[in-house]
Amino acid sequence: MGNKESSFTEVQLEAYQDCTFFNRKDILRVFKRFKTLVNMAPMTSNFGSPVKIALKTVENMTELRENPFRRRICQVFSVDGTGDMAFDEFLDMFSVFSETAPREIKTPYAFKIYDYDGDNFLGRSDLEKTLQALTRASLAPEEIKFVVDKVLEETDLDDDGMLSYIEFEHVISRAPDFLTTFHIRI
Amino acid sequence: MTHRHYPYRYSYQKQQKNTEVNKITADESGSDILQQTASEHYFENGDGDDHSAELRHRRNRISVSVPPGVMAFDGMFQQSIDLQGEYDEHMSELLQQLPSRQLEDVADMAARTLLRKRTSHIHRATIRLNRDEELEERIVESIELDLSSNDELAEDLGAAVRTIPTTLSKKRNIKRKLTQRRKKPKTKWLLLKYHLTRLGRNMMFEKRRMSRALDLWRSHLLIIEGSFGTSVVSYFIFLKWVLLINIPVFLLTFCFLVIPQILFRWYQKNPAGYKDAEPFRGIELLTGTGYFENTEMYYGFYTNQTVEIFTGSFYKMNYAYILTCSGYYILCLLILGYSYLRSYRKYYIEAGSTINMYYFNLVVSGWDYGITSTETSELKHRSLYNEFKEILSGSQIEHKLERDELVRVWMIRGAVWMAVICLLALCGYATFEVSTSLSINREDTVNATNKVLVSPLAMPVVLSLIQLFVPMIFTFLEAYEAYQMPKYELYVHMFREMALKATMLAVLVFFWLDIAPRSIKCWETFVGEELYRLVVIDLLFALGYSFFMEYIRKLIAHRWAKVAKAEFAIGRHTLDLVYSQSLCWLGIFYSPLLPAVVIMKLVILFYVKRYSVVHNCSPSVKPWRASRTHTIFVGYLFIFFILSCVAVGFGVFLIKPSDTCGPYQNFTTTYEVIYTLIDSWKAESPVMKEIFAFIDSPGFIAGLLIFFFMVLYYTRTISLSHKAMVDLFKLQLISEGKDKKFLMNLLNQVKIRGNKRGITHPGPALLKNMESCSALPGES
Repeated sequence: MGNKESSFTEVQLEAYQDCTFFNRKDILRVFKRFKTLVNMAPMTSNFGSPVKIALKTVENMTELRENPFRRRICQVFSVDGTGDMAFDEFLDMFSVFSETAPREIKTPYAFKIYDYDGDNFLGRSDLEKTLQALTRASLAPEEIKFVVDKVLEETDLDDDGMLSYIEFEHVISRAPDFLTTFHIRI
Repeated sequence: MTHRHYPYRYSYQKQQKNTEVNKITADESGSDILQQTASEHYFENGDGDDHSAELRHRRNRISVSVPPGVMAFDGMFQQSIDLQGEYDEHMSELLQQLPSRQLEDVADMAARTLLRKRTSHIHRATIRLNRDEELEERIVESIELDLSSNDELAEDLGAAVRTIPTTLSKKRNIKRKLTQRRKKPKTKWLLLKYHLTRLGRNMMFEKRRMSRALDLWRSHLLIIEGSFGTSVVSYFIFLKWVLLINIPVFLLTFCFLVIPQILFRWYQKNPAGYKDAEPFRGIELLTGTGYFENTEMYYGFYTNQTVEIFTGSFYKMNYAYILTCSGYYILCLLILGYSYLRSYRKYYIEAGSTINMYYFNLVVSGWDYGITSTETSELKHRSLYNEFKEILSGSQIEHKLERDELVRVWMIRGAVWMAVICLLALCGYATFEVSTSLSINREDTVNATNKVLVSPLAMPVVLSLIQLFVPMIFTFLEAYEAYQMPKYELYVHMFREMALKATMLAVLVFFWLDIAPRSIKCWETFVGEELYRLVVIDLLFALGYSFFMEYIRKLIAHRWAKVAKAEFAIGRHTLDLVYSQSLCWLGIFYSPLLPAVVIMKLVILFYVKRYSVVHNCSPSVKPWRASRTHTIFVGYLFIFFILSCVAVGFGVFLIKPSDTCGPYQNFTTTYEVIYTLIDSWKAESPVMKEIFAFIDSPGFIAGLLIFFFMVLYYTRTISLSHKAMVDLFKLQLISEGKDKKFLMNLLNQVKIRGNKRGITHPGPALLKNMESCSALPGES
């Protein structure tokens, strides 16, 4: 997206509709949200580069404020990995989390979010960090180890101690609640 | 220990120009052989330069596809293979370049494999080493190949592009490139097909866009979801769905029944307004009789004559009535059947593997991403912690009951079931008594004004009271049954509650179809009125429940710390919805405007419950598996729909319609009108006579039944064979994984050996070999 624009051209809206799971009304609504966030905490940007909002602003959004994975979400969806988001990335994020997005697009992003060390595998440390984020570090270390062992036992097909994307996708297709919980309304 | 110099060194030198690996020597230890073969596999391109028979013999003994355990490392096949030795940075770099690690490639291929229909060609995905700029190009190429081979995807560029798991800007570029490259088809026939499919796609898009535009109550659902999570909001979504089912049904009856009837009255130019109408007193909204009795509201008012809508076009009311009736029942059947099967497939068949992935489900779908309030997120964290603790403690102690404990528990359960059945019978009898004594005698006591009010309402009030208090007795009894998991207790309780409702409705239907026609003149109108009253009283009780159990309790909770705020009873409310919808289905035939009443009831219920939940209830710590219970609720809805259809069908096919009112006066059964219709068709053309004779014959029906059984058998065989294939693939995956680990260990061993001799880098030649090895054959 270019610098602050108050409206889109028809072509741009068409392109957005084709690339996201939103319709016209939703896109404009998301854009309005984006603008309020930009106005609240403007980030100085170089001329010609798109307007971004800082990681802290995104993390404090109502929709993401209570989410224990908010930092990972922002890092995954921002192109440069720092968490500062331009409008394209912002829209992309909410499009993936929307209700109409199918499992096929949510699964890789879920995988990336839970992959804390970014090695494209969900190893033990990734699973441990996920558990601690979920329970706010109130489980004892041996309990965490036990749960991680159980998870790997249930899901690791080729038995290498880590979850590859294919294994993750395979077990996600058997998780009935995934689609309903991996969903943010905006 | 002698050092052995391998003649292979020579081949190393030939192939690697700059490497220093050629100095590898070996000991006599077992890793010797494996190290050498590792070198063989990685440094040779497979062309057999076998220098000595001995080494060839060794090489032939070990090949990649044979499970690694056959040779020296016999024990390894049984245990899982651990990664041996430390992996330094070069090894990690190598690991990163493995094809299975290229997330976007793999995810994209997986996603589009699902998009592709099963029969189209599976084209080879080219998986090269990852370089970011190339990713776009590769995706564009592979999508293009898909598009050219599969016509269906051709127009749905949007769908193909949307599910690529890359960033938005890349998706836009990909789409732009694709639209540039897309060629229009050459021949005329293809051009026509192209335009037609394009039109079809556009219409589907418009329809989808419109249905998303009517996003009813979005802001309310947002608020509820933010404060209470997906479990509570599932009730409201169910309510919305039931409402949306009722709308087309209402439109059908309105257009085909109510409007012609109004036109009929208008054409008759009778005195304006309704004749024989009692004055509107206001109490009619509750009882449904009086002013409403002789209006379009009930079956009795509809004429059995032909309405002339425009000059020349005739509209026979009796045909219209029964055909509309069957029309909306079939529509509801299709909608319900489709959604139930879809839900079942999503949540049971796909999730029904042999292992129950309980831990994984908790980790991955444990957190509800829609939560926005601090209080709820606190509760969610605590609830997750409790769940983890619960299964941790549960899995460590396997509680197996002793034999006499088991016998005792089952005897108690048997006793409780007997008590439940007795209760059900009692309730059925009470319903019957109330109906016969109070409703039938209404005709006699119509003069006494207060009896007119009390007696018609008695039956619905008694019914609702039973439904309010008897489940409490069930809950009390269930405490003794000691189920092992709260899930089972919930299911049993739901089943008993629905059995109670079904029993009472069955008794009522029996009363309406068997006893009422004998003693009441226009019994269909009477049935319609009864159902109207049931619906209204049900609404009043639901509002009363909200008021007393939730609002008053909140007020008490403010004063008295011991009493906590109520939690929203999701199961109970959803089952009430199912009950009220089944009342609607029972009543449509006898009261065509009932769907409108139900729609208004649902709207009122939504707003009352929504404000009650947000202001009066507190979120619950107990977990609620929304998706599994959703399937159960849709299942109950479907079952009750089938039961209602059976009941109404009974009335249509078997019971004699009343002689003085309604469109079916002077027929023996309502269905007879279809016979006259078919006879009239038969009389018109002999061809129709032949066709009907054929359909009626037993041979045709038997043939149809046999055909269906064969289809069923065939699909079952296919599903069984698929399951067997899946098991085979799982075993294959496990052994492939072991192979991979084995080979990585070997490679690591080689490196370690090399490091010990001062060689630190695998060398550019190795990398190039890796590259060419990882490209699929045929495209090096």
